[in-house]
Parts: sequence; structure tokens; C-alpha cells
Amino acid sequence: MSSIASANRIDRLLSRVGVEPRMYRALVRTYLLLDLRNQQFGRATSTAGAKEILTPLFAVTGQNLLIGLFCSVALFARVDAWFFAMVCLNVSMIVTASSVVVEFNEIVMDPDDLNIIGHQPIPNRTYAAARVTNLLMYVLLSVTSLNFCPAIVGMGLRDSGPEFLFWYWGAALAGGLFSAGLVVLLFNLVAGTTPSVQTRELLAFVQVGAMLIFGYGAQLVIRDPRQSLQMIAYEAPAWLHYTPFGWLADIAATTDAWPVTQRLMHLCIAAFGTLGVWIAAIQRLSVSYGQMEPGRTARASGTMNALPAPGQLLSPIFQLFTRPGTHRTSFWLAWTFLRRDPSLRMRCWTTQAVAVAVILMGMLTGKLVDPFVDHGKDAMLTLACLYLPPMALPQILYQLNFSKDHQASWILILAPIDDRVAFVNGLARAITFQFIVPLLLALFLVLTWQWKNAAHALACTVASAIAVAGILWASCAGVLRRVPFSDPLSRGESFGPIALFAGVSGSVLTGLGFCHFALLQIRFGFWIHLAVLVVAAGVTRVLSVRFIAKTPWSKVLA
Amino acid sequence: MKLDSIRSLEGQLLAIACLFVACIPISGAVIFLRPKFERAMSEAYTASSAAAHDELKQLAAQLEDPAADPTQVHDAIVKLAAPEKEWLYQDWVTHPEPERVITVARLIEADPDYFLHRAEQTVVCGSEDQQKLGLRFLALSEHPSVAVRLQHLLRWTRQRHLPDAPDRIQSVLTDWVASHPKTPKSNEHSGSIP
Repeated sequence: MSSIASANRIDRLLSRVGVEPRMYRALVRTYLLLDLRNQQFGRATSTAGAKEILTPLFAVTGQNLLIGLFCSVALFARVDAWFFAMVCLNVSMIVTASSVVVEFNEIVMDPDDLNIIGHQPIPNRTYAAARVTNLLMYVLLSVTSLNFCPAIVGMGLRDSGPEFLFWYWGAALAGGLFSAGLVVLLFNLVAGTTPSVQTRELLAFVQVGAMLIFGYGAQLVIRDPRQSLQMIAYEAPAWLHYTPFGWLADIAATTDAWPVTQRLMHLCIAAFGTLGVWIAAIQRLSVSYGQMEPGRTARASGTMNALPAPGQLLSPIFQLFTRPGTHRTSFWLAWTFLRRDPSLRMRCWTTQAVAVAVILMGMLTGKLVDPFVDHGKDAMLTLACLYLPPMALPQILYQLNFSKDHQASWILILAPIDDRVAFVNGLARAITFQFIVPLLLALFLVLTWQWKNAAHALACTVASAIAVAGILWASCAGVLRRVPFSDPLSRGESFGPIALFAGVSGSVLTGLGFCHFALLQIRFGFWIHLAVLVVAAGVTRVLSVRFIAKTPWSKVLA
Repeated sequence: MKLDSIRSLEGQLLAIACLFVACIPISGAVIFLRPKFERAMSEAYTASSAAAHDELKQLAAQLEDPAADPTQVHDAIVKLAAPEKEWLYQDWVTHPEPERVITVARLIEADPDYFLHRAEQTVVCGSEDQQKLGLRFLALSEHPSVAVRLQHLLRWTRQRHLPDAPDRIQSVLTDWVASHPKTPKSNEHSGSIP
């Protein structure tokens, strides 16, 4: 009886503000259902699929909970309650703001809506109310999932207590809602439009990157021999209290110096600020919803860049690195596919995450010692940095078998490819330029900066590059067995079937790393190792070329 | 229950709720394991073996030798790079017996900022034993900024409600102030104390 009464009360309230209750409820339910099934994040990370039981919103919520948990564990018992709250609120506000941008079309403004409901007699105000409710629900879920673990774990800090949950929660809600409202307002006010596909894609990468950073960063904090995080908290500058994060953390942190009234006052100011931002955002959104025209769609992402004129494939720089004909064509093909398919690019980059994390970890802990100077166990981390970039190559090449445009692969199957070795080499070279060269360049710069010795850094990077060449040729023969881009990606296929080959190549590279370490102990050991690497890469190339030339694509045979 | 029912609105909301519920015991476990987290807090003294060349080992021995020329020792310390200074500090902390009083005086005289800050870091980040050594290092130094540093440490540990550290620091501070009557009074604002 009471639920019916409260529903009636809400209906009356909605009617009073000009919102049609029945339509409003139906729209909110539909948007909620769409939220659970249709997310930009899911597309960017290729986790979305009609047959999947656990939908992208589940993955995003899980990811947010993990970010909060990693943050809490890394900070717990190391810092005071104020610093703990400041970092967690900081992370929560940034991730919430970025996720609103990523999901902007789905949760804020989707011109496709009018194609579906434009002909229905839905009042503009009802539509706007449903959209804003949906946006608020999404933001609340995001804020709640990001701050759930920190709010609980924070209660266990020595200088806080059960009241931390209440104060932190208030600060987190105010901060999260403020940052999300500000993003909506800014995009509407300054840009006057929705964020571009590139912006949303970049921020989807930022979210995944944030999780990797917090995952590996938490390990870094725990393993830091000097426990520097505590020192950062100990020496936190006073001006931090005047930043939005510090100001909100002042509310959350339970110190004796802060009376409840002062904290309540801060919380009220934060709440009024948030309310102000949202009132302005809702006003702007209502105007934008009113201006939406039926038939206008957000299909800008479907417009592809113009193809190059015949005979002008690739820029002059890349023409230097490719041979005319089949080699250049396949290079262009792979390069174009990687540019057009964010999901493919994402899958390739994630395989390099471990290498990037280890290099960053070595750099931040100062453990990237020069193996020419220090031959001890300290050099192991440096050697890992050298042999991890090629380790991801089989997985990256394997990704070239899949594409969202796989149905057009018949053109490639029927194409008169006379030199298959050149074709495969072109694909591999595109992969090298897109994913390996930037990483090796970054490695070289990091090593030079750490060692202040460019010659030593160059020698080590060259060793890594030779290992890359060897593994690349082996992978071309062992992995690129199908017509490229000809398969749709089904769940689990992205990494499963390649596990054996990746395991073998990983073992070979680990062996090379140990060989490198052992040879460091003798005079001219590095140069002997380099010579061995060159010979091994050369032999691999010869054998692979023979194998590729003799073995036809399995898809064609089928 | 069919597996497909998870794909319904109610099923998805239930799945998400399960995620939240699962996080409660995990977060509770983190709080429960607080003593283990605190015990894990300690500095690992692993100064790079590359820093420990023969000259540095010789210098470490000279530091405690009253007969060694103070100017020569001073100049030698000033010329050292940060990893080498770190090695000297770690050498002092890892070999507390017999206590090397002259070494502390000479290190502080040569580079007070580096070595006092390093000892302060040991008090903030180290285990209980390491904290005691860091405090001892500060207590043995004659530099006027020691009182300010100790007061900052005292505020920090009291604010964090750490169990024994404030008493230890208070005792060192009282002794230090008593033996140095012209102690400067600190009004320095601690960064994270609102």
C-alpha cells in the first residue's frame, strides 16, 4: 500500500513539473536497459556482444570497484586519512568525468533517439527528464562503484573511524556529481556539441590505462624499498588543501582539529556548488534536446577517410621503408585497418601493457641499472625490459586475423598476390612501425635518461630490436596462417588459440634473457650475445621465408 | 534459473549488486589485516652495489676515525653522488653497533639537508627498529633544524594516532631541547594537517 502511495506521490510531483509519468517511467526503464547493453567502452574494448551474459556495464562497474580497491590497498596504513581521502576522491572525480565523456552519446545526447521515438507523442520535457534521470543514475553508479571500497577501507585507518564512511560518502558524491555536471556543461557550453569519436576513444583508453596504472602502481607502492609514498603524504604541500580534491578531503578526513560544524559548512558549499552546476547543465541540455531534429544522426564515425590515389599509397617516409608492389600494398592494408578499427588497435596495445608497466616500474624505482656497469642481479629488470617488447609480437600478429569488416575479405582472397612472403612482410612491418618502434624508441630514451650514456642505451635497444626481428619472422610463419582480417572475433578467440605459440616464443625470449645475463659475467659477453642474436635472427628469417613461400593460407585451402 | 535470465534488467542489476556485496568482505579483510600492513612497512636497505666502490668503503672507515683530517673527509663527502651518500647512510643504519657518533657529525656537517631528511624519512617510513635508529641519528646531530624536524614528526605521528612513535619522538625532542637551550621554535605548517 505504501509503495503505491509513494508512486502516486512521485507521479503527482512529475505531473506538476510538466512530466508525463507513464512515458517517463517507460523511457527510464528503456534507457536503463540500453545502458546495460550498449556502451562505447564495450565497443572500444570489444567486450560488447549480443550473446554475452555479462554486459559492458557490469565490466565497467567491476573495473571501477577494482580501481577503488587497488587505490585503497596501496594507500592503507601508509598515509593519513586526509591524504587517503584526497587521492581516492581525485581518482574518482577524474574517472567519473572521463566515463561521462566516453559514454556521452549513450547517456547524455543520442540523436538516434529521435529516429526511434521522434514520431511518438512524447513531450519534450518528459524526454529531457528521462534523459537526465538516466544520466544521473549512470553517474551515481560510477561514483558509488569508484568510492565503495575506499569508503569502507578508510574507516579502518588509525586516524579515522566509522564516521569516515558518512563524511567521505558526502564528499565523494559532491565531487563525482560536480565533475560529471561540469563535463556535460562544458561540452554543451563551449563545444556546443557532443565530444568527437577520437576524444571518446582516447578516454576509453585512459580508463583501461588507469586500471593498469593502479594495478601495477599498487604493486610498485607495496614493493618500494624506501616506502616513498608515506614521505609524499608526510611532506604534502599546504596548497593542496585549496584544490578541489584537498577541499573535499578536508570534509572526509576525521581530525580532532576539525569541528563537525565546519565540515558540514564545507559539505553544504560543495553541495550547493554541485547543484548550481547541474541546474546550469540541465538548462543547457533541455535547450539542446529541444533543438534536436528527427533524422539527424550521429553517424559521423561511419565516414571513412578518403582512400589514396592509385600509385600514391603511403606517405614518402613510409615509402622509404617499403618496397613497391605487394609489400607496400599489404603495409598500407594493415596500417589502414589498424587506423579504422579501434577495437583491433586496442587489442594490439593491451598486449604491450606488461612491457610498458615493467619499463615504467624500473624507471620509477630507479632499478634500471646499466648491465655494462653492474653485472649483478640488479641487471635482471633491465634485461626484462629488453626482451618483453618482442614477447607480445605473436599476439599482435594473431590479431590481424580478425576484423569487424571481415565480410569483405573475399576481395583479399581473390586478389592476385604473387609474392606471399612480401605480403606477409608488409603486414609485419606495419605492426612493427605501429607498436614496436614507438616502444623501442621510448625504451632507448628511458635508458639514456637513466644511465646518462646513450651508447650503452643504444647497444641494449639494438639487442632488443634484433630479438624483435627474429620473433617477428617466426610469428609470420607460425601465426599468419589465415587470410588476414577474414574472421569475426568471437569470445575467447582473441588470445586462446595462440597460447601455445606465445608460450614457446616467450620461453625462447626468457632463455635469451638468461643467456644475456650469463654472458655479462665474461669479457665482451654482450658482444658475443649480440652476435648470437644476429645469427639466430638470420636463421629464423631464412627458415620462415621458406616456410611462408611453401605453405598456402589455410582459409584458401578450406 | 536459466542463464539467459541474467541478461534481463533485473538479472543484470542483481549481478552488479553481487559485485558490490563481494567487495564488502574484501574491504573488511583489508581493515582486519591492518597489523600485517603496518608490519610490512619498513625500509629495505639495498643501496646499489655499484655505489660501494673501494674508495667509498675507505671513506666509511675514515668517518669514524678521529685522527682523519676533517677537511679532507668533508670534501670527500661533498663530492659524492646521491647513491653514494645513500650507501653511507645505509651503512650507518645497518651497522648500529658500536655507535658511530663522529660519523653522524661529519655526515651532517657535510650535507645536513640530505642526511637529516634521510633520517626523517626513516622515522616516517621505517619499521619500529628503523624508527629508533632514525631518531638516534637525529638525536646525535647538532644541526639547529633537528628540533623543527622532530616537532613536525611529533605532530604527524600524533595526528595519525600511531601507538608508540609520539612518545619516542617526544622523549628524543625533550632531551635534544634540554641539551641545546637555543632551540628555534617552529611555527611551520604541516602540509597535511588541516
